Amino acid sequence: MEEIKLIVDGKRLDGRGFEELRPIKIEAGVLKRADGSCYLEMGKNKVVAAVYGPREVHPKHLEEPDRAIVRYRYSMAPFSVEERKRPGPDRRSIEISKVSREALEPVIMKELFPRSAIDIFVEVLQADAGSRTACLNAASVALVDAGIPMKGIVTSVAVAKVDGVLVLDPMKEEDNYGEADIPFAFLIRNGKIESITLLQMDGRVTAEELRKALELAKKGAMEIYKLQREAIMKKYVKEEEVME
Amino acid sequence: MFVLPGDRIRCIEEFEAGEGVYEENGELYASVAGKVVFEGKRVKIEPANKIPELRNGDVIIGRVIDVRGSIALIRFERKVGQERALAKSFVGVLHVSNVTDEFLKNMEDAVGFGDVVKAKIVEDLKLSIKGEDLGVVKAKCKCGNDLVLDGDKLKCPKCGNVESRKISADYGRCCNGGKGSRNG
Repeated sequence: MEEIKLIVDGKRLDGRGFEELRPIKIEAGVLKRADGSCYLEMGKNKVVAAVYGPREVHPKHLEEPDRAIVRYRYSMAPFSVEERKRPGPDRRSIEISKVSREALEPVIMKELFPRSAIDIFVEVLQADAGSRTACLNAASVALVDAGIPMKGIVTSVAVAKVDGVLVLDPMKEEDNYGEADIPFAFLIRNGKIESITLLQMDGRVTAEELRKALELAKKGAMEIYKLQREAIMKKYVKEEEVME
Repeated sequence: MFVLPGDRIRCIEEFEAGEGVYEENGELYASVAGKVVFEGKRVKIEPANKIPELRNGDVIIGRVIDVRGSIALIRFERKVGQERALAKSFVGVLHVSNVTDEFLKNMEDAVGFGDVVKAKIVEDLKLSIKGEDLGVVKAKCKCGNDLVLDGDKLKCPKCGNVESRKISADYGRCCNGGKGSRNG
């Protein structure tokens, strides 16, 4: 196969710079029946998140006497990718559900709702690399929309290594033909990044590159955090009320 | 001031943490999205989207799951005026003495198995349906048809069966804040 050039004249294939995010659109409260919901676009990714609960746990044996359980389901629509994706959970989506749940669990104040469940569902309508990060961003906006007590807001972004350079928020071509893909999720509190709640890596980078990737991801996450805030504010705050 | 989870409100020296506020390392942070309210020495957050919580005096919608002797057991389904499901379902107890101010001998004359009732929480799990708007809001006949109001009794339009109930003024109407019931 012919070598694909992912970086031409210091620009990426879609014309972005190395440290530039794809355009993001976030809307909170799109589903009437859900307790909290969010629609999010991150480049060509289109995802919807719905949050239900705290509510009764079924099946009952999953109940925890001292805290709520958190369930996260990541699922891709059959039409979300070019080749039809067989619907239902598969190895990949089960793994993503697990790591994403673990990214949100330390942030949600589970101990306030013993013997109940908080269910988070995210559906990928259109995928274009980094769908797990898009889903996490949508899920955390939906959680805030649902009024679930949390220590902060989770924001997620990926960094990739393509043609030997680190780039923020890779799109499909960079993910497919790049050398590495590193999704991050951060807990952001009071406008500061407090901790990393998700870190995965596909491919390989040097230790130094990983450190650089982290710095890059932090920058990107802060931008996304602002957009997440705006989306929630847009739903709840009327014009006259201004943030302090 | 409208805050989101994780926003720093004040430090612990200034205020005490109320609802929707948590303390960590001497700082107070918001845990839910909402308006900050100062109440004397406490700060709390008036949440933008409230999770229903039950307190004494609240009115709930429930379903009768058992009637035996002088008590009826009622499973709490919703808080009146709130569409959102409860975090945990409870079963409350209704005693005949809490049905009306008049004398009532049989619980069977007040509520029946499967009835949907509007009841007030008197204390923890003790319920009362005293009052005009409280009582049965929906009931089904043994033949499976919805009972309709007929004077101070309920009548089955199909089989003509007449049953007596402690009927709420809201009988047959949606009484959950008018936002429409979940089942349409």
